[in-house]
Amino acid sequence: MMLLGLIPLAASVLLALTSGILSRRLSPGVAVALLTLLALATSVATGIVLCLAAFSALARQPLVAAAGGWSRATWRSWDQLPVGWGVLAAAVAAGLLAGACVYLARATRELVRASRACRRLVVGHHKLVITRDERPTAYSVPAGTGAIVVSTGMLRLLSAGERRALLAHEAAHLRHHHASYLMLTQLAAAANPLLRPLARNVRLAVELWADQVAADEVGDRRIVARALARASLAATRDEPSPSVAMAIAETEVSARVRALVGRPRRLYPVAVAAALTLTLASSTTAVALTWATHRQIEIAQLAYMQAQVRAR
Amino acid sequence: MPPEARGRPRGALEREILACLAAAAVPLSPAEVRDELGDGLAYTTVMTTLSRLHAKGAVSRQPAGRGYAYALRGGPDEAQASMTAHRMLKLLDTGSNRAGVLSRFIADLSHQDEQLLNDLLADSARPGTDPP
Repeated sequence: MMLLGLIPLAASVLLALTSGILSRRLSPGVAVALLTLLALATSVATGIVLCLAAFSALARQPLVAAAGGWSRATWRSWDQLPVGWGVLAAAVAAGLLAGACVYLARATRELVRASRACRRLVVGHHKLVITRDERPTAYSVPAGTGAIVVSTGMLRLLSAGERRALLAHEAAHLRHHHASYLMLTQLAAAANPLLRPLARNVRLAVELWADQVAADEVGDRRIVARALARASLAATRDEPSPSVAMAIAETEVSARVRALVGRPRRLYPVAVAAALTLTLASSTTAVALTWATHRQIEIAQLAYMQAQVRAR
Repeated sequence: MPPEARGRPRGALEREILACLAAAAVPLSPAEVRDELGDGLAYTTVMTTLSRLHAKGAVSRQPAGRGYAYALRGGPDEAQASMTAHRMLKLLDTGSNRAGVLSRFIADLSHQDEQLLNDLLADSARPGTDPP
């Protein structure tokens, strides 16, 4: 019975593997929304299944059975998951829950800190903060009303068209609530580390999404690609990139440039259907196992009460 | 919204004009800003936006010829904003942004990336392709 519980785990692994294709081939807005949904559903399903496995193994222990008032024998005939595995599942579930809590706390702290900083910045409804700094930097801060922070070094580097592309890219992050998607997928990945590659791919897809919005606004994908190229090269000259980045065959920037100068994307119904099926399967498993376990508790309790009556 | 600003979301033209003034070493007249931005913007659109930015205290202006020349405002507020932004930048740089609160425009590059980007820029470094 509890073998069914492996479905969410398998779905997590498969989702992590397919998320790369989905994030690169689907229209980025669709990819981000879809992957966020799938990550959350799979993560919750995994957590539920782990808890059920832990409960089901521990429910056969004399102390637990006595406290719950159910029959150990009835329970044993239903599920033979070794106690050791149950304890392991409980430990893993507790660890993952703690991981998710740590992530939530950290994200909240950083958001509050950024929000406080934002309030002190002079931000009109244009939301632009220009720092007098020769190093080329640009980023968006989703806290409060949101802010786009760009250094003068970055602005001097770019032509008017490229500046427009950069600003449109950062504004798109704020307008389309990209930070929320990032936080939700990273929360899902904290609660289920198998989904970490998926979270990385969502990060890429979010950048692709903002690039696309910028390209639509400027009306020329090559201008966005040039802005990205110029900014990235200048930043690399400033401080050599860490050796970790060198090891990765295709990094974020090259994927983005390829998406901008390559052919337009199209929807892949088969890939979407496969990912949705995986998630549906793991969610259904979690619900079905929960229901079956609940029913088993009731049966075991009934057996326990009958035994009590017979004993009198 | 004036017809010239169509295709731009709210606040986008203001951002572009501020960025243009920040990139320029000297104060710019509305005509110079319009020429720099290109994109078929009308003089009146640029003029109106500059006046609005001035009214909000985002830019300073000084008489130049028959009109005004505009520059990004530098003052105590601006200096403080710059300092706060620097603090946030530090937050980003030290890797304490692990929860992904800030989105940076650029990421680390590999050698292949550098080659790809240099090729891209060399390709487009032909006349009439919006040079920097």
